[in-house]
Amino acid sequence: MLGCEFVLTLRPMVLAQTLSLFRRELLTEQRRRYAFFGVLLYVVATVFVSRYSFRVVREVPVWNALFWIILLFASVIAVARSFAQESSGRLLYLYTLADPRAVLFAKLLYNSLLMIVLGLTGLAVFGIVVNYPVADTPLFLLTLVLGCMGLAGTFTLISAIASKAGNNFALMSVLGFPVVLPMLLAIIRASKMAADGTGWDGAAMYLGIIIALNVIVVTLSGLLFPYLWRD
Amino acid sequence: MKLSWWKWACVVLLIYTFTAGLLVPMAPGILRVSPDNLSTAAAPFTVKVHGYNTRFLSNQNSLQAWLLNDKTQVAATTAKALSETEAELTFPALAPLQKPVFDLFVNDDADGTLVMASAIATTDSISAISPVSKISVKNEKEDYFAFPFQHILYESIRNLFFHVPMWFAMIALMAWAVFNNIRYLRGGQQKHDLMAAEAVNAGLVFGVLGLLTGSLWARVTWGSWWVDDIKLNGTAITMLAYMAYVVLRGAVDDEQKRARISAVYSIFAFVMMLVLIGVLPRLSGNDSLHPGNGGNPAFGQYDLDSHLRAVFYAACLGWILLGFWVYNLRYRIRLLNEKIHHA
Repeated sequence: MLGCEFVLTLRPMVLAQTLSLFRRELLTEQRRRYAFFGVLLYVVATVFVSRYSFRVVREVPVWNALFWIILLFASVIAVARSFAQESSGRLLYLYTLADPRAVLFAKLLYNSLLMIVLGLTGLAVFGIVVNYPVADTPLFLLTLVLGCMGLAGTFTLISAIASKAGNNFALMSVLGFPVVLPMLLAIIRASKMAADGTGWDGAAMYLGIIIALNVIVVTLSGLLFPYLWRD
Repeated sequence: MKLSWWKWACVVLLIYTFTAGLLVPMAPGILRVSPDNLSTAAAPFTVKVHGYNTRFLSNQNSLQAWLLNDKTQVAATTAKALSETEAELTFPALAPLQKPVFDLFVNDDADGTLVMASAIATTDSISAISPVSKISVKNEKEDYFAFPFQHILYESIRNLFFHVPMWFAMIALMAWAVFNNIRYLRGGQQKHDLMAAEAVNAGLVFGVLGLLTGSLWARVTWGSWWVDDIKLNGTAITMLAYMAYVVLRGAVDDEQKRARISAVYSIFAFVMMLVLIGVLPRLSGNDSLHPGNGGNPAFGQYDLDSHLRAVFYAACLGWILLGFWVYNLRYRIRLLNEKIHHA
């Protein structure tokens, strides 16, 4: 079956390749900082739009949902670039140099980092400008980090699919939103519990689901990407 | 016309589902009591019971009724049948022992014991001790084939043979689609891709039917066409994912590329949907109205009785076979089209 191949062929080499490709991603991003700041600006601008449309959001569920919807759209915009920005020739060159999965994992890792930075910045701005009704900050931050990784991971594979189908932003949302929903649901539940300060016991189950979904997403990406990258 | 055995089975099962599912009568039950909110402690009181499919008049002699409050039974002094479905019950003055509501029991030889929990609410405060009287219940009941009488559900319980199996048919077709997606990725044969695509198309038809029958059922039992229910919204999202699959297929022109990309998306989406409608609803606290979810007991636990099962299992198999029949026809038309285009 599919799984056996995946485990058998996933050698340590892939890890090393992933790390060096990850460094390459960082380097490219550093050279094109405007793209990163563009997404960051998008988050900040959306926060200010929320401020002007909602004034102060006092209800925790509304605040929480609003925050995650902003991050959801930010993740589509941020992650959609990952395969779109590379020319098909350069991608092909990368695939011949390294295991294609290493290319995907590097992008996955890089997108996770990007989303965590965006999430934390977004939380800071959202907290200052709109409201900060979080009772249990450590739990909220943990949920934020895990959730951002989840969003990034899901949208990385989706962006690989969308890039093969003409790189259309609408297609990316259409394909991505239904698939990301289980993750988003668990994230919103866990972060609402963190905001309410109801303790770690209740949130632990949802954190477990987020982690499990992260594992599923990474495994499926590793399994399916080998069939995807060829043209 | 030559039909293979499973198509005959499908026709027979669905004819059985429609005839048995729609024609089998409902078991007798109590619809309502009027008045259902009155003072019971001051003087003896009379209430009128409205039954459903009951035979009060023809069993006037064996008709008896009693109220229950905190394990204390109080028998009606008189029980007079007005018609087959209406009876007038007179009770002695009663003050409730614990809760200010009484459960009503009506018994006759033909209908057996009919129960309506919290049938009569009393305006009196909880205080006095009610008289206890012995009731001799003959729990004999004519055993005939009938569906259980459930409050709120009533006749709509028959939707069980349509709404639930339609989802099963959709899930079976989607699973078949994913199986073929995997076969395509492993073997690269175009027919597997076409099978998967047509299975999704047929599955979507059953998804729409499931949503329509579910919406109708929700209107009847929960009072709204669309309710805030995690399972309902989860299945709606599943439909969106499969519509996205159709859109994705439309966006790619090259056949092999389309087959590969859509297979990858379909497998990914299927796993996520399993989590969305299979795992999450069972975990959430109280945001589902469906049996077996959101802390509700599963259907089979107490109210899927043997009479319902006799039709339900046939209905499941019948609708799933119909789903595969629809899929089979679509797939064959697709193959013919492919042949015409390549010729």
